[in-house]
Amino acid sequence: MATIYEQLGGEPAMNAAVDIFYRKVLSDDRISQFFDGVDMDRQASKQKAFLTMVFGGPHAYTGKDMRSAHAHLVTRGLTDAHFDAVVENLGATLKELGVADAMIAQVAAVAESVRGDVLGR
Amino acid sequence: MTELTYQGRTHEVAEGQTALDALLAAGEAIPNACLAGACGSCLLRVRSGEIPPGCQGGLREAWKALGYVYTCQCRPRGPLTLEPIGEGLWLDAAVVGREPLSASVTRVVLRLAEPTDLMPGQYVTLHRGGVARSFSLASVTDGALLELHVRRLPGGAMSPYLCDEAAPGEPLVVQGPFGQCVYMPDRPEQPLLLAGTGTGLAPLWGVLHDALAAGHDGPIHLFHGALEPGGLYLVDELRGLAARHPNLRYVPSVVSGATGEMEEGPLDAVVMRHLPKTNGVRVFLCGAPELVALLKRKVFLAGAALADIASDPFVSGAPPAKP
Repeated sequence: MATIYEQLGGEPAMNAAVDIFYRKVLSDDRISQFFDGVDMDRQASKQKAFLTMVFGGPHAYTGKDMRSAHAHLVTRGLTDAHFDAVVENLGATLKELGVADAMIAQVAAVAESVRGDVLGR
Repeated sequence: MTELTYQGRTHEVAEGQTALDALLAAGEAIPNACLAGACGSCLLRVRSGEIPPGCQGGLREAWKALGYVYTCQCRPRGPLTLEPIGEGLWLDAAVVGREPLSASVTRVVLRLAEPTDLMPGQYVTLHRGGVARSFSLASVTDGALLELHVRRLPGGAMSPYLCDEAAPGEPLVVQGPFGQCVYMPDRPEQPLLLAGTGTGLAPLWGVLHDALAAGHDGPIHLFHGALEPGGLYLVDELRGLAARHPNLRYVPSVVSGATGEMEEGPLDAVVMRHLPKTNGVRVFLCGAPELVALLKRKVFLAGAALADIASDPFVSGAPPAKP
């Protein structure tokens, strides 16, 4: 079965997906403060790698990367509620891209697998 | 802890330390200015070893392939051997013309000894007596005549020289070009948003003239911001250009003291008032770093695709030494 990554159109489609996803998290008052002062292009390339991973595309993401990348945010108060908000925005992004609910649940499960690393547990 | 070799001498680098910091701490003389991976004065070439991520952002593909790295952004993960970058990036130039554009901004024209492929909107770094400063290209004629807009900073290490002191023909070393703020003629119908503060107008002037010369027929919105009316320049020229090109809208804007036909308010607010929706717009943002970052976020949230936003924050050089 084709991965969501393939269904969406592979690498070229990831930029559009990142735009939708990034716009959603920046507009979300629950989590937008974590993106203040962040270089947007650098952040977008990280999100692209993340979306590629959770959509089942080729990736070189490791738990260690997730852990070290978010450690400074954990000290600034990153919690489960923030993680949930990001997953929610991810689901809304996929809905906007016309992905079926069953597939969205599958992506949420993959995202769930990095919760411990992101929150430094 | 790993090792860095430069000019045959080997130095230690702590984990997370930049190659530039390690080299400077070891007493090597490496030019540097912005410490932000922008000005290019600290570029070195990796002769051997693994190039760490994040130290080639914004460089031309050809330079990446050659192994050029911003040493201020380069945190070695394993042994690296670095060497000075190739001679090809260094161009001999001379100041050949000057013209005041306002009380504080001077148009400075340089001639390169050899024509090369530079594009208006890109920037070059000038070197003189151990000092490096970056300037955007407002125009490029025949690949050899470079137009810069230079704001004179009293006591500055470069601008008084360029604006007042340089004798015609006096040699100057130019490095570059750098930067991605250039007009691409692939979509002539696309709306363009050009916004900048101060001499951030220089690259926008370059992009604008390239777009008009290419027959760009989509709407072009140019916003030039300053603190007060005296900070604006080329106002009459831009008004004249807008009168001749119905698709060009020129909006001069000041934070306070607006006179005549100009907007008043912070530039980001003025831009968003005129263009509340930016879907499908190609955006160029140049000038004060805080404003560029703020506008980038706002135009993105208003609909512009990230890939369509080119920005060139003017990271200032080291402050002049106190007299």
